[in-house]
Amino acid sequence: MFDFLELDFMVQAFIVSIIIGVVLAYLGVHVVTRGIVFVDLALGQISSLGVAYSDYVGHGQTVIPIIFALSGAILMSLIRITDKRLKLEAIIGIIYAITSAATVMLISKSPHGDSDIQEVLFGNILSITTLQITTTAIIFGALALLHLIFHKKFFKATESFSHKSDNDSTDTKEKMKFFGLWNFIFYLSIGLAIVFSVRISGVIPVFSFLIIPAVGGIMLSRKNLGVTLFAVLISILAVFFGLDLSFHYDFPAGSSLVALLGGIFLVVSVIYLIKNYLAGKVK
Amino acid sequence: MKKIISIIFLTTISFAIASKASVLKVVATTQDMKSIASLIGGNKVDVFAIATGYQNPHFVDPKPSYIIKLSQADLFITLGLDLESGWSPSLLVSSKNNKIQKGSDGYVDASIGVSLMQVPSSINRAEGDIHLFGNPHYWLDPLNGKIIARNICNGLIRISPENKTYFEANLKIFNETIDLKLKSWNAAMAGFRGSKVIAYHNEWCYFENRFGLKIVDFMEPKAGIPPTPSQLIKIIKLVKENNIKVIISSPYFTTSSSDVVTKQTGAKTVILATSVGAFDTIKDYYQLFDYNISLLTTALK
Repeated sequence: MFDFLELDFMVQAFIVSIIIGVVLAYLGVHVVTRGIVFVDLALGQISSLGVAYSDYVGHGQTVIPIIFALSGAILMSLIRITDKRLKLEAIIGIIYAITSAATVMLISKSPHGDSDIQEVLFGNILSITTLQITTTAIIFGALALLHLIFHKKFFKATESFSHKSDNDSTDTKEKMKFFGLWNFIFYLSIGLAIVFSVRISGVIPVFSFLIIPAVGGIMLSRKNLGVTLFAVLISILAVFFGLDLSFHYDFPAGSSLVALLGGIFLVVSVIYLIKNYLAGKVK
Repeated sequence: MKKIISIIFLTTISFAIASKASVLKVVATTQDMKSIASLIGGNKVDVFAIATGYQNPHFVDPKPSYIIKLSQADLFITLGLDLESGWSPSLLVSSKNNKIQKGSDGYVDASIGVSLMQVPSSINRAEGDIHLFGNPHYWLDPLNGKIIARNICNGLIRISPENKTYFEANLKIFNETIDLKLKSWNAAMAGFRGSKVIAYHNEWCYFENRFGLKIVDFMEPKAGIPPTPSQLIKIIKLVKENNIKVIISSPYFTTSSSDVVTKQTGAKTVILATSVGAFDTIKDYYQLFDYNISLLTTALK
């Protein structure tokens, strides 16, 4: 079962997936609670637009996509919706669609566009370099540290979204000092995490690691700490068994990880249904 | 304890010697390189190809086995240029196999010595040339196959000089077979030289050049960009004006847009094989051309 960890490239894949998986699982708890699950696809698309743009102008292939994604994240943090009929999700969807279209338009005018975007959207966990691991460790470590120290602030900011229909939601926002600042830092961390993890594992695995563990955690616990711990646990299990699956049956690594997350999600759903059924009976 | 260590040591050494005497492990990036390497290496080699024949070699999703194969390989054969640049260099680095890294004896760039077509000048680079070094689909000319074979033969001799005469003899047979086959392919195409065709993607220039076709335009307005409405209108007009009978496509492209042209004009869409293994019947490099020539001549009639 542990034999895949005897090979260097599998160990590297394991390390980088654990780093990404754990941090994304945590950030995912915020993303799911805020109801902005498509933020990942939208930011991924904005960074593709950055690639297309840098190809079009002919330079800045590494920096421009990052700047694009971070500016996108900042813009999203500034969106304030007061009309109850509108959801932030809808705006994020619009951003996704428009940036996708703009990307296609830009590619059609620039030579290398297509293959460069493929590189951004489909990372490859199996052949990452030591430098990539180090960069990922530093960036994700810093994000984790920031969120560990200020976890109360971040959860408070997020909770203001979870009871949107309640009247006291506006109160929470008003009560929380510097809500805008914490919201801004949150989007900035999401932006950084997504830009760097998409380059390593591709859009679909990143989306799955952001959403599936968090949803699983919410099904299994009611407390913030419990949800986060369960999400991280699901993530770690998926990384281990996903890479094991990829190695033993020779599947591409990214899709194996997603398949494992899906499997764990099924198990958690069954547990959740049984738990609810039993709880209903007791009542 | 010392005894055990020395036994282990001796067995390792004898294994090393034994494995050196046994077959050479060769990893090629594509099926065409694999076919030629097997023809040259004969029973001295065991060849594995990474990309399948029906896959677009631009996009290959790496699997763990590729890196494992590479880590055990004695020889690595790449198409070179930038067709596989998205995956092959990083896989090579991950293999951590010093024998086959770029510059080592076990590294073969099959494109060395091929006169490349469509090499972009710095001026027209922005005009839609995807490939910096020139069009990378050079194996679709059987005479380039001979250059590939020479490069592979040189690589095999570098890592296994004791088999030099064997490899050289196989290379000779390969070259003679290609020359002989080329005569029959040319004979089959004789009546269709100068035929105007449309191609889906810009990957047939070497084939076109060898067999005297004339590709008038591409379904893709720019390499890698799916056909746009204005491009379709342009193609339909071209097909009608020039009485073009055939649109050449590849197994990994959808035929939906060429179907539009087919319906409007009556030109046929022919899916040619871009690699050995693209279809089950194509088992080696010779059959790749057998298949394409026979399909093309039937369609052009």
